[in-house]
Amino acid sequence: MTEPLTVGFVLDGLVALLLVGLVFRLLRTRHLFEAIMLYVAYGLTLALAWVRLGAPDIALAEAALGAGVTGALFLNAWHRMAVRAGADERLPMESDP
Amino acid sequence: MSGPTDPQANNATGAASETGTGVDHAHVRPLLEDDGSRDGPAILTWMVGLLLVPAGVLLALGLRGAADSRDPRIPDLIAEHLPETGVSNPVTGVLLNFRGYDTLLEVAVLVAAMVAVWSLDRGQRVFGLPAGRARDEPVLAAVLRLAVPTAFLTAVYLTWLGSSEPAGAFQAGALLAGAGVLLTVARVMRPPTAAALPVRIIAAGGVAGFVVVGIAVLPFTGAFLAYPEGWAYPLILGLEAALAVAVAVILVELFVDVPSIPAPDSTLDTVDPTGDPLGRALAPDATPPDPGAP
Amino acid sequence: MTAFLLGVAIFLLANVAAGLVRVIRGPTQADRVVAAQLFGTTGVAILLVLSVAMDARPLRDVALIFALLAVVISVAFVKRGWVRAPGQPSRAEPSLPREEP
Repeated sequence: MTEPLTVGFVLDGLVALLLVGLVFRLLRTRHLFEAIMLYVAYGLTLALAWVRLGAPDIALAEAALGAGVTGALFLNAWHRMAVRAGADERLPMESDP
Repeated sequence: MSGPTDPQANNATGAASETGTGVDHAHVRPLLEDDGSRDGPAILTWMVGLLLVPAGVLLALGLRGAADSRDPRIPDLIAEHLPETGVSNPVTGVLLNFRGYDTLLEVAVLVAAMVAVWSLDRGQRVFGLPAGRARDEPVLAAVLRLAVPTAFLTAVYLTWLGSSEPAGAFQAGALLAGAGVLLTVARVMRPPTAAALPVRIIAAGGVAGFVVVGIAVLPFTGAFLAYPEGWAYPLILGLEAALAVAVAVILVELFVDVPSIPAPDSTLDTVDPTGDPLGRALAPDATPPDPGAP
Repeated sequence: MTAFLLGVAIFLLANVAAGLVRVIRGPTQADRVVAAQLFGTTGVAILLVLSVAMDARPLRDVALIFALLAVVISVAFVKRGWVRAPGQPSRAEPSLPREEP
């Protein structure tokens, strides 16, 4: 019975380390797109943390809101900033007309 | 932007790709690529971290205090009275039966948030429908055909599941909002702004449903939001459904009703072709969107 | 068996952590999104493994949400997160050879 608890402890520790590491990088970076993707990864990690804490309903809400809808909202804001700053809205793979 | 006077060049994105003049590269570079100086000043990060330490300590102390002061009888009381709530998931039982007030006010906060964003709306639309683009994007169309119905089905499932397992209206609403955002971003659906009457009715439906049910049960039980015996399950399920749809609509509106500042964004439709002075004051170099542009 | 399954979850999470290097390093936006999508896919696997290991059925629903919301992020990226730098010619992603005129 002690062995599963130990393995579970390692898993919980990894989730916690990942959370702190992601937040640290998120605060340090000035690259906005990287920050958005780190935020999405942070939301998914936090959902895993809620799962490990035995709260799957909060994990559901965190995954849907924190990672999904908020990530799309940030991507949309980023797009507007990039286009405002003069970026070409067409995809990099599209050919010039 | 000091672009050419050709009206076609009002579409500033085209001008940027052809000439590259008048574009502040310093602003767009950090958005798109690594420029070597992307890390913020370390002192700022450490200051934020230092500020967070006391906040974390206070939070830990507060949580410890809350854990100490918790009435040890509450879990047993909930377990004992759970059958009376009409549901078997204790979280739903507490949220929609024992503490219906709290949930009512939570949804009211969401409605207030939507109203706040709506008040910033200047009648401009960021997301429009494409002109026959679906045929050009077969992969996107296929993804949407698979993902959107699945999301709708899962949302219904989560709402229903909330009565017995950890799930519920908020999770289902968030998922529905995800489907709505998907359709909006892909330009398949053009969601109405919060000014549209149906949007307002549905968004208020969660709160309104709570209040109506709460008052309607008064003659039977003598207390606000105290469900009559035997009616708890259908009433909770109905409220959950109304809540899920309301949460979804509110979240999509929060996504759609972005306060628009006129920008050289060719996807920006404007209702008012003259543009508004406040928007131009905020973005003096922005070209007003050309209503005649394709 | 529980220990083994939790070990599998740790291995999968370590994979995710390794993939996150691409979120930080890039170099293009697509690299970052693909790494985040890897998290979504691997997250589904982790949750399914955990649902057996922890004997918690609701985790399968969380896995379902992970899978569905990954679609939202990828479509939002393709439609709203991918633009050209000013003056950048077409097909000039760093990994692709520049087109000669």
